[in-house]
Amino acid sequence: AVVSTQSGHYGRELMFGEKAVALVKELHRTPPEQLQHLNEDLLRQVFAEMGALFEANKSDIENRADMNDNKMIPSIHMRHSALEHNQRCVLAYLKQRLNKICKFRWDHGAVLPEEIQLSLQEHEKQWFNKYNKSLATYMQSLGGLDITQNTVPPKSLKIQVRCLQEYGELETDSGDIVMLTLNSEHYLPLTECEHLIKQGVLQHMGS
Amino acid sequence: WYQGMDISLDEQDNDDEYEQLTAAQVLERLEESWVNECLSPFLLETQQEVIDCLLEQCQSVEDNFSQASPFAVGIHQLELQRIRYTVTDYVRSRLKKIEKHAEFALEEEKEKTEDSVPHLSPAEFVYAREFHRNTLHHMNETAMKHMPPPFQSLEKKHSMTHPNLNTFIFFKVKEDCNDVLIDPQDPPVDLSKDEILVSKYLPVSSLLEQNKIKLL
Repeated sequence: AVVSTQSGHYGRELMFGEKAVALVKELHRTPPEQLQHLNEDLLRQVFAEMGALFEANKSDIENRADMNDNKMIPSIHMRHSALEHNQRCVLAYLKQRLNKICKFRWDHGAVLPEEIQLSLQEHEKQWFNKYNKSLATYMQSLGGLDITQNTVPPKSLKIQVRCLQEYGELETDSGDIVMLTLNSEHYLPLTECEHLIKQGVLQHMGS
Repeated sequence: WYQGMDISLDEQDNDDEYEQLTAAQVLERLEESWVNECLSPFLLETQQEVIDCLLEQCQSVEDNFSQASPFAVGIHQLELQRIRYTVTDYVRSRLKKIEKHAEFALEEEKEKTEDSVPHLSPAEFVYAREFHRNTLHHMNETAMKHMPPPFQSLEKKHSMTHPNLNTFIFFKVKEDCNDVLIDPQDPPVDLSKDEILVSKYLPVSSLLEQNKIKLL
């Protein structure tokens, strides 16, 4: 049974499983901080391939002459392996995307930058929201300790920082207002600056 | 500040006696647990009491700042930040392990008996379960329901990841241990206090949980 008549950019018919591997390769080649859109088109093609393989196996089993007709067993095994391989690649692709989204939560906070939000598919957005909620519930159980902060051991209470962007006013815990203009330097408490350093607004100067 | 304070942290040891620990001892316990947790391949027994206690103490010290001199406040604040960092990193290290092997963590807890100390605190258990369910639901919706019927669910042996409990770790012996089976092919050995050794994690994991060794 001919499963795929679409010749890929290889200029020949694709083997079973090649599309699934293409998904994995695409993700592997993306830099860690970036996330492309979910390749729904390629996913659909892999599902279609799986459907066709399964139907072929089903028909081979049903059309056996009798219980001892073993001629088709090698083909059935081969198609079954291809099915398992496709399943594995698809799940790996999806899981790795989730891993990346997870990491974005820790790097960027509860609200993701717009460019990342645009790359998330609907189900991934729902996953992220649930993950956010789980994490918030857990932090509540520790009396509201924000565990996404404090990522480096504190060496001193206050640090020297330089402002890399026009940020505007920052109100500190003690009520003071600090104007963060481009290239201005400030001596601020570590707790106030940490999330701004992560976002790239401030830069820690020396040690 | 912590030298002068006695906290009543109820510690239950094997003989069902309650021990009172000073704040300094609690801090030491936290730091050791933190190092152990960062270096071990999977979750150790939960030290939830220790961290709850310390976080409470941090808060009450902060509330008393107005009574201290500004100079002392600065020093206390740095100390508090360091403690908060240690607690935060400890908790983070555990969450990362849970996220990596959520199903394994849940299975492990299921097999524990009533009197053994759990590896997951109640909050961590909820977190693990939600994470696992969330991920499974996502897989079902995005992929598995579009696959042929036999592939719409996963058997545990395929979906569950295992942490490698046989990685090698360095450890220091805190008290003498006799007849420890490190390698099934060798006879049991005696470990003496202050020895520094390296071995696979699994054979010595029970010693770690009994606080007889610490990871380096």
